[in-house]
Amino acid sequence: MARAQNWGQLTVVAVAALLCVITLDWALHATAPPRRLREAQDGIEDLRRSNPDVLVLGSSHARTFHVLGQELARRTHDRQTVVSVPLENGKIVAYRWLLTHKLQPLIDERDTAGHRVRDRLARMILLTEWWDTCPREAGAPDWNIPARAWTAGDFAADVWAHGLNGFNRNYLQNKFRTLIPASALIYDRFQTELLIRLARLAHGKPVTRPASEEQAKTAAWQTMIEKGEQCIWNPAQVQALNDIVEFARARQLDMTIVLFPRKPGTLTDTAKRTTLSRFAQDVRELAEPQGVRVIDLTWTTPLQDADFMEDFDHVNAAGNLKFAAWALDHDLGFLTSTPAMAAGR
Amino acid sequence: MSFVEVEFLFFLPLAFIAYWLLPRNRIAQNGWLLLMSWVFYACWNWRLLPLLVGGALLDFGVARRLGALEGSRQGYRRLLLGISLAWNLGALAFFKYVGFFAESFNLMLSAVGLHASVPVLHVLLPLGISFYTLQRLGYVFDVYLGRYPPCRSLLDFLLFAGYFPQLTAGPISRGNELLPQLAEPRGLLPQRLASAAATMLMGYVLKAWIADSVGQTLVDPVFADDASFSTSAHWAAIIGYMVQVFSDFAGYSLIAIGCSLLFGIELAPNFDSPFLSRSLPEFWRRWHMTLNRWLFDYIYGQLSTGRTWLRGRLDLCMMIVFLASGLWHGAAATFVLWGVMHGLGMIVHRRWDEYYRGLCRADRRYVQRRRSAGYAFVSWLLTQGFFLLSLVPFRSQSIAQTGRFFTGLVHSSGADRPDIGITVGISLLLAFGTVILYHLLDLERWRRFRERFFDLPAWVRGAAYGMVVVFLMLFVPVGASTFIYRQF
Repeated sequence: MARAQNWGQLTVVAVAALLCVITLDWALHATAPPRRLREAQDGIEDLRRSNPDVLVLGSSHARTFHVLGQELARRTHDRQTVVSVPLENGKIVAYRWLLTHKLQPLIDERDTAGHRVRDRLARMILLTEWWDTCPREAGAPDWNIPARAWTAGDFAADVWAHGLNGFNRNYLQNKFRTLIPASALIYDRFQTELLIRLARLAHGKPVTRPASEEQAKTAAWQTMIEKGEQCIWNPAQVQALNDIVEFARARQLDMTIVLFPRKPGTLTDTAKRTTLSRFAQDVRELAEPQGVRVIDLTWTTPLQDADFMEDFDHVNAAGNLKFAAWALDHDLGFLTSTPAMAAGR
Repeated sequence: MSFVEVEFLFFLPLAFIAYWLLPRNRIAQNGWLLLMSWVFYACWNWRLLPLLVGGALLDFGVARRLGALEGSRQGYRRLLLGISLAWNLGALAFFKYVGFFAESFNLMLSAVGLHASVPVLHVLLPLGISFYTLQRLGYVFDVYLGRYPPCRSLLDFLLFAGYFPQLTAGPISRGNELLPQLAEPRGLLPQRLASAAATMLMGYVLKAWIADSVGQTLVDPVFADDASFSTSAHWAAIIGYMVQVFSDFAGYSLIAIGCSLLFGIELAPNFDSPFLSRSLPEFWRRWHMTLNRWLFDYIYGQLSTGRTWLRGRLDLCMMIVFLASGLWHGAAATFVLWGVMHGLGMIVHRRWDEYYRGLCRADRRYVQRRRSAGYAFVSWLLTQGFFLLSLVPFRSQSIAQTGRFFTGLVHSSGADRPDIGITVGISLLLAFGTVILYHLLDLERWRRFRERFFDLPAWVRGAAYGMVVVFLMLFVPVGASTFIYRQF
């Protein structure tokens, strides 16, 4: 198939190929730089390095609370600081794993005198929504995962137990992505972000979906949320939620469960009446008797459809700022002050 | 582990670099490759590794005894062959077919009004069992028939039975192709390395880009809900599937062949531009070549020339071969139907060929007609059209869906079409164009264009390869790669 006469020619071919890849990668990086997303590992590292007042645990939506944390620090002149730990596409079982395997050693860490190293930590927020309590769907994509917070040892143990599969492969995908962070081709490899940004660049404006596609996607989301009632409150996920609450109580952390805002256009009256109300009710019944605050922001914030990304799920940059400002003025205003139990410690 | 998953990007460089840093002797090289092969397998499921190793040990021992007893004690030799057959086919039957036969038996019972049911076991199908079983069986057969002597080195044989580039999905090697290469130390040659890289790159283009993008856009949505889709969508899906299944398996085979070349070991080719074929026999000489030569060597050849009642009954032997091929592909009625279609197709072709040769003997003008462009075109159209239609049961989930899909090719009450925007449309056109070009460049008159590429200056070729790599990184569908033949 190929005809290389000698090592010299082969070297020229290899170097030319490599240069071509590097040049194109550099050009892509210059025109559409990779968008760095906060991952669970970043949250863990931030916690390791700091002594925050609030720990936020949640799925990718916890990235919104990173912005909220910045706003809180600004308003309180760094008297109240937040570390958010976003676990991409997590479920409650995955949050528990992250909490007990990665965060607990840092939360409970003590110095040589026996004092807690992170003695300011007084609050914990669990950011969740209805699908976090559904079991993992059979056949669903495996991009989820605690694997984002794994070490090589965690990965090896999971492979030993289950073989390589889509779930634990996420660890390798993440390692591969971050192998050369400066490479647009590699960093964006598993997100198709690069293609989206290139398409935007080519259009000279944001790529918008045709109206019919927008409607179809909205309808699909509405149906999905309405049908969510069939899968919520899975016993394994509920047990994990209970364990997380227990974890916070055992450490006298002031715990709040926040039900994250959804894009208004995706919420029908039926969905509000069924899936979303039942989920909020179930969370309250589990949490409030144990002294946990529950704040349901599913459709009560001023966020509009335009404040959400094209994926219909995540809040965009402008929306994050809007949400942070509003939330600290309203339901999450209590974060600006130190909780009584911590003040008395 | 598979060649198209991220773990291979970590595994291959490690295997390759350490291999060439080791002393250039057979023990070190084969030992390392065996270790890597077992790691490759164990990453999928280490608990089933003893099945692979145990079977290889048994066949090694059987073949050694067969070699030692050559020309004597035929009864004992037959017994040894029987033991190997029983173990290998028994394992294959247990893991692959036990559920299918139990379900079929239950269906038969209920058809005659009996409701006693046989429990259906659902067992995990060991990775690559259909491939490595045939490879080992072929070896034992060849030693039994005295075609070559048994392998004397256990290390070489264990590697032959579990060599990772071919472990998942072939190509199915013969003992006399692979074992002599394993018996010698390998050197790192630039020619071989260049060939390996180019072969792998072509494999990734076919597998990771074409097969996956065509499958996700044109094929999967229609087969998932065929009743909702229009007649044109049915045609697009089945033509798309023809391209997908070729790109998937030919691409994967090329990656395996290229990967093996990195270690200085040549594997047999598995595809030879099958869409150029003008008859079914030619098609099966070009498509999944190593499986078909196995089936024809060890089943058709043995049955049609053996001492049993089947001797000389060529049609029946042909039907048995394709039924076996169908069942090899999967334990389902749809694969049996696919096998029957191809068995019948081959029989019809053989009869037609005999009839036409009779015409040629009587009138030489028929010879000229057979050489004409028109005859060639009609032959090509019939061959490819037949193969295309035979893919309907091959892809369908059930016989009922097969029937519905065939109906949908003529008339469908559904009106949906695959959701293809302009970008995907262009990508699909490029994908189809690449498969066509891949075949055309194998034609005598077009081959010179391919040769010209390799005559270009080295830096130009390098830049071209670099651009292909960037293209793949940009356009290969993300996170949804499957490999159709892995399930077999």
